[in-house]
Amino acid sequence: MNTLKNIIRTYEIFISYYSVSYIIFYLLLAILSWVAIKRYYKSKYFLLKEILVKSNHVVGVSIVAPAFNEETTIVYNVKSLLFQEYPKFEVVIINDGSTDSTLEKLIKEFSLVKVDFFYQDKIPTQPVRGHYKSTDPIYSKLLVVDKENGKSKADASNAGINSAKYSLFLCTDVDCILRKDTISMLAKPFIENTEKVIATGAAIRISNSCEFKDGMLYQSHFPDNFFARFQELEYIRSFLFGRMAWSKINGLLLVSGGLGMFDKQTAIEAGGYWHKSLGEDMELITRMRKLMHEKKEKFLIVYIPESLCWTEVPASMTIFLRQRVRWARGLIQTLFLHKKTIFNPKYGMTGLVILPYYLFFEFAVPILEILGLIVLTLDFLFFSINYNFLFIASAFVYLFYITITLISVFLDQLIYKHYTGIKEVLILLVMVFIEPVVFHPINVYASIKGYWHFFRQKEQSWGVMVRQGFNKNDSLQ
Amino acid sequence: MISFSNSNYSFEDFFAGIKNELSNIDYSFFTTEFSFEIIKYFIIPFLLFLIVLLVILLIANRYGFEKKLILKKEVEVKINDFLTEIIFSDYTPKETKEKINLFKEQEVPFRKKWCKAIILNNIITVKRNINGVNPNQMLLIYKYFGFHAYSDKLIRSSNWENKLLGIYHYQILEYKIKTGHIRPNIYVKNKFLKSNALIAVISLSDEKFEFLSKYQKKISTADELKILDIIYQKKSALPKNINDWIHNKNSSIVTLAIKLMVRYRESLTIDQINYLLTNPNDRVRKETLSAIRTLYAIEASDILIDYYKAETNKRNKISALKTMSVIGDNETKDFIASIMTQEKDLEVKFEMINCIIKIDKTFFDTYKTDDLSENDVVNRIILHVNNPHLN
Repeated sequence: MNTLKNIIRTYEIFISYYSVSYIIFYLLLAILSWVAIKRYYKSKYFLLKEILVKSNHVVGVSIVAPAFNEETTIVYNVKSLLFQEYPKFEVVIINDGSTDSTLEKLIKEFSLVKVDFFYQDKIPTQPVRGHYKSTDPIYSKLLVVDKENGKSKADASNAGINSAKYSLFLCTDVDCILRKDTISMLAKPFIENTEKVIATGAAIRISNSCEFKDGMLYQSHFPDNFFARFQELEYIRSFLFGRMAWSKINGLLLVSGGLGMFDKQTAIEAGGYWHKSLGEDMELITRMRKLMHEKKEKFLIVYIPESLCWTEVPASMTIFLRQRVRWARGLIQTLFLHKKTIFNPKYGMTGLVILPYYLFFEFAVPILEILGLIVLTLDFLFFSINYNFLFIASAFVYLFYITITLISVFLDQLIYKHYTGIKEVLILLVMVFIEPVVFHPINVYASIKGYWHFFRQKEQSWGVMVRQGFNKNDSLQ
Repeated sequence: MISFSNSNYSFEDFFAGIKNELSNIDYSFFTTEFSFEIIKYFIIPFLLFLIVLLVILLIANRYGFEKKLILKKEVEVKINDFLTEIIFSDYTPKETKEKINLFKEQEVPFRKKWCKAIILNNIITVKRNINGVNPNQMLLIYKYFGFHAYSDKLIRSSNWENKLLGIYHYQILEYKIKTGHIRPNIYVKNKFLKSNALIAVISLSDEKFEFLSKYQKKISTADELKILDIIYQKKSALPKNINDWIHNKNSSIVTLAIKLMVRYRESLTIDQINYLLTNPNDRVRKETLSAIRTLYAIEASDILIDYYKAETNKRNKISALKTMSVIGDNETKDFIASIMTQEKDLEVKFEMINCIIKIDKTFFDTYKTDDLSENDVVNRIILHVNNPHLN
């Protein structure tokens, strides 16, 4: 019993230090994020996007969008992607062995014909069955790659990268709706910076409940679905708060798979997306960073505080859990794969700051929370609980959590003024207060399950995301 | 430090040891009544206060925005109508001034910052995007609204963001007389301010190219795009001393000179091509290759063969092949055919085959090697190159 008591006491002391360091880290992130956002908006007159849109001298961009069983939305979404305002771009859609009529719909709608594309396996992928181009000049920017299913988005993306003709590629999901100036906004940092930029990213918003017209966001609404509401909050906090701060210190390890622009040469040199990865976006950035450190070349990964992309998020518990389990598994997989990089001075910031942060905070928090519950139960059963202290400590953690979310929401409202009315903002505020007790535990459960699956080596797959699609009356449909 | 060398050291002692170690660091800080009291009486009330404040600010901000939105829309319509009227009517300066004064006093809440912002933004949008508007009239309108004083205040401010905005106003509205106010900012450390000041001075100067030819520092890609944008918009004449630009030590100026020559369809001489293709800067060589291609300088065909042999940069090699496919002759074809089989890089090989086909469509009709995999690669490239939908 004495040993158990000692373990519990040690854990409690450790958690005290851990919590303080976590809070300090978050406060630092808050400051960095504020500075980064301010600087971004201060320098908006440096290179106007109108200049890029009109110029013949810009760098070309290939939009790479994998599709797996997307027959309900594919036509609409491809049209939306083709509406980008940028002088030099192409859209590469990869049909990853869909078992529905995704390819047939594309062929019919865009008058596609099979072409003898000289495909080079710069990054190894599952066999490519063929390439399709449109006979209609309106869709000359479209290239469809048909390949055998590789059981991962990574494999499909790699086939797209291999087929892309421009030196930058924008990776997105085919269900994402991009703002018309997405390419210009993401390509800007590649042009503006004298240091080599290897990737750029921007904020993703949730499309559930939003209205779209002509492939563009028409009216932004706060989601009316239970899960989507919390995910909206989570996205605001993560994109505006976390990633802006990491970008400020060139420490981004995650450029979302839904929206990220990459230097093709660096991505290929790093080996492209790893097809076995469940967090392929994070894993690719880790390898790209490592490559640049190994080559001793200066580089930047830039994040911009603009909402450029809208995507449908899981609206049911089953799909939500599946997604989060996958993410958690992806995180531990990446950390495990790059364990030798952690604390390795050869990898500079990546090895000494970023990966340790992900290990000690992002990865460890769910485990520590579960351990906390166990300790509390043991205390309750065998020892005594100082209820006064427990209440104060819990209140402190809860209020701190709320404050961080509220700051993110406040910044978001100050900059973007999303949603249609004050009523929606009020609902958002209510969600802020109930998120830690309702949504957070589900996330913790999913993370633990993801870690468990990683250790049990369960087989991976694309998974089926049930889509509602965008408004059916939209003229693009 | 905790040691396991002592065999009597139990598991229990191990945790007790850790506990002591941690306690020695600053255990008291977290567990004493004092820190508990700090959290209870200071941090928690502070967080509560912050939360309440944020919620109030958030609601107030949104409420203000919603309320202002309707008014803003109404005002915006009035502003658009008014600006359309005075920009596209033949009012005398005196009439314009009177109308603007009347509009400011009676039609819109001009004292409000947001109202001023809408008017100024609209003036700038019209000036930037509508061809054929009289620049002098736009400048007059800008002045009669009193925005010149606002821009002046911005430029004189110590804040670089304000300066950037003020410079932008002057540049777009072609307020040439104010160039002197912008010029000192070219020499500041801030890269954004320095760049925009340089571009504004070039844009506002009557002899914009002369200023540029003397510029010593490296011009970034962003600045290059901005300069080219000015050139396209202003339709200025090609500088007479363009040959001096080509021989400039600053590779940024050389690159710009090549782009200018392409823009004005000014032919490159053989001497110039020879000189430029030996420039140590990769970008200059690539720009030259692109210029030869666009300007269709067929006389450079022989030079390109020698250049290709010496070039080590892969991207430039590919660019040279693309150029040769446009201006090449039989000699080019023979040269490429002689080196094609040895080429291992498929990207380069692709361009080689493309180049040969562009010069001689029938070249591969009878082509075959003993190497089956080589034949396969070549055939696949030929099919790609000849596909009408892929080119």
